[in-house]
Amino acid sequence: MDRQFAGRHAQIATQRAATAQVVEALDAFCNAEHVPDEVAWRLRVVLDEIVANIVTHGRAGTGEKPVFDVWFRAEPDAVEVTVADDGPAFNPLLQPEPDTTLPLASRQPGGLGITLIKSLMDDVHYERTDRNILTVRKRLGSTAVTSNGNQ
Amino acid sequence: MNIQQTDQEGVAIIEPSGRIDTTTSGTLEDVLRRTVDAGARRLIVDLAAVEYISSAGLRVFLVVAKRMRDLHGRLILCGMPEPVAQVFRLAGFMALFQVEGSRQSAVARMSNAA
Repeated sequence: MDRQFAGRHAQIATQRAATAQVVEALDAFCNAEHVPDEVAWRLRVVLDEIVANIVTHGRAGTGEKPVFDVWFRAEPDAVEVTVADDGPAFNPLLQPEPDTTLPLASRQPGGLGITLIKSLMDDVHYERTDRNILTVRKRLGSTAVTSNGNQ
Repeated sequence: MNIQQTDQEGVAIIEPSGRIDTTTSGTLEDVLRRTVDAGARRLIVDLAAVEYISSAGLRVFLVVAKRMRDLHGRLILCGMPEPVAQVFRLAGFMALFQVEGSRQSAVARMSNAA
């Protein structure tokens, strides 16, 4: 197993605590692996979006907080982050994305997280086992913005 | 996150530093809300010291932009580092805001329109 286990985040009390915890783990990973700043900030934004989604959608209606695990993996030419949560099946890639061309009066903030995840990463992969498993990948040295059809 | 607040010639200037994400966006939202509540109608947010912004932060800017529009106030953003500008572009937010390169040009633009 060459993934670096970033800790089990069980029974996270609040969204603030959850994201702060995983972003801290990501910081340590990026420092240890000398991940370039241009890639590291993208990973931080994307991880913030993923965890926010899990906390919002995970175990909706039960009042329970979702449990999730995070793995980081550094390869010679790419960095991969995997997040697995035990919430109900939820594929963020199938959620409708907001129209980013609407004027201010018609703009709603929802859904922008998915747009950012897709645009800031090179690959995004969703898999459902008994958990939701989302893997994002960013190649090193390829920081061109990925078109998501909205631009 | 650290947030500097300055009043320059009747213009409220807010300068957050660090990361604007799920963890910190509430703090920024509070400061902006209080500033507008206190009567500021000419507002500049200087983003020069911001490392990055996630959608939680974009939401804060959307809220303050709508509120300033309702109050017939003016909001100018300035000093966006590339990671911040990139997220604003991806979200289609560049068209929703008046954006200036430097604080100096933001203040000048605000004064010209007064």
